[in-house]
Amino acid sequence: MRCIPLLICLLLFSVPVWADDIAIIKSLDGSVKIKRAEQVLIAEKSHNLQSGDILITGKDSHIGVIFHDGSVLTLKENSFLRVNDFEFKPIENKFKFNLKLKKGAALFQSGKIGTLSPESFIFEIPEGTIGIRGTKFLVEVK
Amino acid sequence: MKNLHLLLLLLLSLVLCSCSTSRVILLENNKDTNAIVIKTKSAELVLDETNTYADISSIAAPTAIKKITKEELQQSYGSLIASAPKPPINFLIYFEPSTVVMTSQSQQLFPEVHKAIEERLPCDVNIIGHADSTGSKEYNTELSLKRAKQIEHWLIKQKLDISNISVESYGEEDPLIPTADGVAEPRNRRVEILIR
Repeated sequence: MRCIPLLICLLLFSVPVWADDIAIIKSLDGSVKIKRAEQVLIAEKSHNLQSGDILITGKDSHIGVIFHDGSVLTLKENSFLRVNDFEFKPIENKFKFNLKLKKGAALFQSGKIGTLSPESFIFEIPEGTIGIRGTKFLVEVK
Repeated sequence: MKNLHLLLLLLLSLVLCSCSTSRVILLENNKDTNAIVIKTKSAELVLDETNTYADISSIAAPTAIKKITKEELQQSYGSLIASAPKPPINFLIYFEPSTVVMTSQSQQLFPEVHKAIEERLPCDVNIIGHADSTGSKEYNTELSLKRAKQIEHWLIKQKLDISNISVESYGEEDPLIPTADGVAEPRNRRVEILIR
């Protein structure tokens, strides 16, 4: 019987109930959707992104976000980008940053992960990957 | 009818060629190091000069690195570049030894901090307190939390519409200037205000 509280604890903590916010939506134009698991949300200024979110910009639309490490990502119209993974815990020395642009154009300016752990950053495009060394760059998938 | 032909052609070209191309451009970043490494199945390419680009194809090896003029950049990507949010900004507020009293120089920074937040709304603010290594670890964690809370208190009074304020205390764990234990270092007695 003694192990029941322990079991309950295990159950409670093994399921990630609360997903971490990883970025804030700073600027927005037109219609931008966020696909989060099975949900499709309408992007709004000051809302947050989570790891795994897919950003989809419509015609004449754009979205600008700032990640918790200070990286700035801007997407042009008709773009499709997935935030595959993001983790920024400098005190624990844990860094992950993986973006995948399937369609459209993106402008990216790297933040602290670019300085503290550039090897943790991968920007995927259909043809390969882009790695950084303290950088601002622009990608267009045609 | 013309439109219909165009559509057919497009579909045809899709069937014939499942290949894609991406253009990757390295932009000015005002930092010392600015470079990217592009990797494909067959090759690796380094861009380390600003305003240069490469077209990356899914079927051919990366082409040569080319220059893009400011005019071309403006014409093709001007609206994207202009729509980018203002980059984050960082302020450091310094403190007198073992106190939550700010140095007089740091106190003068507050109007600037206020303005930077206003210009960036909607925004998140991180407040991270630090201490130098005089005194015990526990003492310093507590002291740097008090310092950070002091800044938070000021921020709340400003009644700016900040989306999220987070307060952290790193104690003596993350010095700006690494020192031996027990060393009084003014540059480590600080609170970092990061405005995103």
